[in-house]
Amino acid sequence: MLKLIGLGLNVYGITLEGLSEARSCDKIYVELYTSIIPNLNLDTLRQIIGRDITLLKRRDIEEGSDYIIEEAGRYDVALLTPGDPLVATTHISLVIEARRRSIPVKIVHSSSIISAISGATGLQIYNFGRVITLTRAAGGSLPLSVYDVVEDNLGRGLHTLILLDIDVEAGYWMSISEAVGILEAMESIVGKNIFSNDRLTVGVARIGSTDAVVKADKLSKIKYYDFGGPPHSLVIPGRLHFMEVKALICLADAPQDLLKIA
Amino acid sequence: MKGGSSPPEDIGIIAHVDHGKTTMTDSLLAAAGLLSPTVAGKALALDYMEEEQKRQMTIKAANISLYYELEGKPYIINLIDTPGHIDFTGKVTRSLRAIDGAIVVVDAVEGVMTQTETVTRQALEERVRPLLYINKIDRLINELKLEPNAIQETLMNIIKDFNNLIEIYAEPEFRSSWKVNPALNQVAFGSARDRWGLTLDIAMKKGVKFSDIVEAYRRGRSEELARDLPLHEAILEMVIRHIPNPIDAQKIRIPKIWRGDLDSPVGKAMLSCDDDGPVVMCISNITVDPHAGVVATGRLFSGTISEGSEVYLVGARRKGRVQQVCIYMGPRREIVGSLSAGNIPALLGLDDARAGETISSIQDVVPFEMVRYVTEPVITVAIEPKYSRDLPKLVDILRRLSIEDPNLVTHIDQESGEYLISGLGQVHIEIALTLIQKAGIEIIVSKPTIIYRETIRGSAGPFMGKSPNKHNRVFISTEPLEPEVIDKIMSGELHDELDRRMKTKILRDAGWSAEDARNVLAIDQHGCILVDRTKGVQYLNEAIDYIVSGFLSAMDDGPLCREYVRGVKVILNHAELHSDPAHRGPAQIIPAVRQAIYAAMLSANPALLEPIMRIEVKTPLDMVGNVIRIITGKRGQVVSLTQDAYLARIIGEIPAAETFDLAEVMRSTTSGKAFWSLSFSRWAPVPASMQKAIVTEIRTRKGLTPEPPKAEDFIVKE
Repeated sequence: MLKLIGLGLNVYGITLEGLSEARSCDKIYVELYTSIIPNLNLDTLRQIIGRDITLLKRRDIEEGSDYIIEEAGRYDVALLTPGDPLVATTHISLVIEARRRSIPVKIVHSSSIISAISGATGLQIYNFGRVITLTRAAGGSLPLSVYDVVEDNLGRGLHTLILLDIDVEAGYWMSISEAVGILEAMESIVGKNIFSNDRLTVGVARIGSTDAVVKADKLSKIKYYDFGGPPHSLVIPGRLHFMEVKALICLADAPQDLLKIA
Repeated sequence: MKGGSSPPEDIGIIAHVDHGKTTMTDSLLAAAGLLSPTVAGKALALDYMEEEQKRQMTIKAANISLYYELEGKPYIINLIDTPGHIDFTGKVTRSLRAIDGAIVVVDAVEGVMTQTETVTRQALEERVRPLLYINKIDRLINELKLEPNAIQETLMNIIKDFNNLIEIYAEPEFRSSWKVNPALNQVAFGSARDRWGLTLDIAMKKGVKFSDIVEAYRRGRSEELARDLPLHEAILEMVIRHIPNPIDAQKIRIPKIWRGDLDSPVGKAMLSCDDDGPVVMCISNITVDPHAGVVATGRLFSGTISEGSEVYLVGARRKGRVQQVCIYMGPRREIVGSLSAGNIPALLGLDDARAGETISSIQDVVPFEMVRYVTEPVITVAIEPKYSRDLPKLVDILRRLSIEDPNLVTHIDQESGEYLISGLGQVHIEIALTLIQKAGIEIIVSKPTIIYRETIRGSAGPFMGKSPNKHNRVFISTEPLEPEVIDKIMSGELHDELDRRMKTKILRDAGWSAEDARNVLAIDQHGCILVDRTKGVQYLNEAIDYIVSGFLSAMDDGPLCREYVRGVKVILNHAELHSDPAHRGPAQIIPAVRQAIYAAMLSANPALLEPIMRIEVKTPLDMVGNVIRIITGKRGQVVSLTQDAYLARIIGEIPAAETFDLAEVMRSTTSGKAFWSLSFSRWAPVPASMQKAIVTEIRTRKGLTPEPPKAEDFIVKE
């Protein structure tokens, strides 16, 4: 059997079900490249689970998927993954391939930034549009599809959750200030006032951890706010419900005048 | 340097190898004033010896300005060196661009040869007027013991052959006016080794007849000839009388060598060689001076270039500042502060300049050529320093060599840590190795290896390529690229930096559909093209760079044995991409594209191409049979065989792989009597019976599994 088990958003984010399912497996793998869980490393995880765990890199999973699935055909294999295992990952390919070979699959969900963002900011899940990742400008060309997605969501009054690129194996994570720089660069090219200086922006860091930071302000100010360590994300709010306004003031220290405009 | 009545004459000397180009240049240098008019005559004798020693280097390195007075009038003659060996013909064209006239040196015994033909044709293509100098008259007298009549007949035949080249290769308007006539002093005769030469005019003035020359040799008094008939007089007078000065020459040449609008201000300035026009200069040669850095030498067609000038490097799309403007006087660069149109300045400070670059005060001037070198190295050696302390020096000189000679490719193999030098032939490599050793570095050189190409002989696909995360798919097919299109890529006419309209036009002319011609995504320099046939694929624009990277990397690393790919048209038929950029990055798209290309190529009858060299042999008649046996014995064939009374000329083709011991075999089989040269001719499929063994050998050398992959290894169904 192949078990995909979510690790949630912090060191203790794995569910009780996840813990017992993992412990009952013959082999436990973990991948830590699809997101960053603050303070989590292989040793802590081994202690929490009480078993030996093998760390897989991106290549191991993508190019070695056959091997993992074949193993899961012979005994119980767990793959631990940050957040909710099939949210904002491409692991569905493992599930499909295992099922195609009639290997049972069990998924143990946990929390993910995709749901936690609502609680952290008070922005209601019903009002979110498409989610998108802002990647580094590769070879000098900006990923303008991010601009299109935000423009599209705003046009329909919807909020956009922008996940920020990470490359754990290269030791890279995108900070909010770097991200805002890229968004501003896009604005200077496209010029449709999507990422204008006054755009209401919510920056969040380490959601789900005790030292999480949530801050709403103008785009130009968010850039200089100190959010601390990773992971960081951004929300560009669309049309706000009055409860959302209250929440942003209460939870995200939003300047009152800004919300009048929004 | 222009000022007043005598603008400079810009000339070069071109020849078949061994016909006496270097000796003749030396003779001119020794005789003519090496310095500017102001310094001419003074100080020269003092360091003559030193200059003499350095001369060999000078001639290799740069151009030289000569000073000469004719009938009381001073003339400056800028002599640009053009490389002799056929391996460097790209350089020849570039050197020719800087000059308005060329002295074609022909060996009196050997006559007009292939390279004579090649270089004369190239000169005519650049609208450089060729004049003829028939050298080594002494051989006719001393070796062949010809009588004056027979000498004259031989010379007339050479002139006839030479004029024949003009008839064939000159454009109609120059066909008759550029033929040379000895009676008009457009031909000089002489012996560069013995430093004498004459035109009919000089012979008449001095009352010399051919029989006198024959007589002088028979009496062993050739030094009298050097005294009475100095070679440089004959040559320089011929140059001054028959080679147009830059003002006249540029009127004729600019419309041919520059593709911009002749009615534009910059076009008019170049046509009239206007000192006050915008700066436009074409770099013909780059050297790296250990102290001064990059020295860029070339022809200034318009404007005045001065110290501190801000200029654009048009091809590099960069700005630069000229730190010094110099002319070459012998081995020394003399700082002159500024130079005007028609001159051949040597500029310091433009570190990004490369040979072929156009330099201008105008940012968007139409360049003379795209600075892009189509290098087709065919042979590689690995070198290492004997003492590891020399490593930094070696790295340094390798970098310098590759800047100076764009056809020499130096490369560090990341896996083996070897330093690799690739060139256009064994001679080319040997020259580079000699330069390294001359720099005082002892090196260990590996056995040379041949560079192959991979191609396909059929069409296949579309095949699917899947990204490692399985969330992206590309669909790619491959077809053989038309030979005509490959030629256009290899000649530099069709390349990636061209604007889309030009690319489309060239490909339409080659018979491509409007659709394909318009949608070229990338052109690989070894002769492959990527075409986009997709319709409305979402997010494709954000994945294009990665698709192109995948294509280029696959073309660098053919599926059979990781040699370069040549002559393949890769078609992107369709793509399905993940909606989030995080899941369609380079790490996903590049492998998908490579996989699909390999699946398609391996299904399309893949083949290995080997470099075929053209061999030209001059040999006494009794050795003809031996030479032909050598050529055919080396998987070669004889293309033509011509002979005259003394010599036979054999042209053939031999695979480069069979040429390693050619020198030895030729020497022993013909008792050293055959003279021969090799040059790259074309790529041809290796014989089917040998392909498997060669692929295995290359793979083993590269540390790969001996068996090449099969198409099935790359084919995915869903």
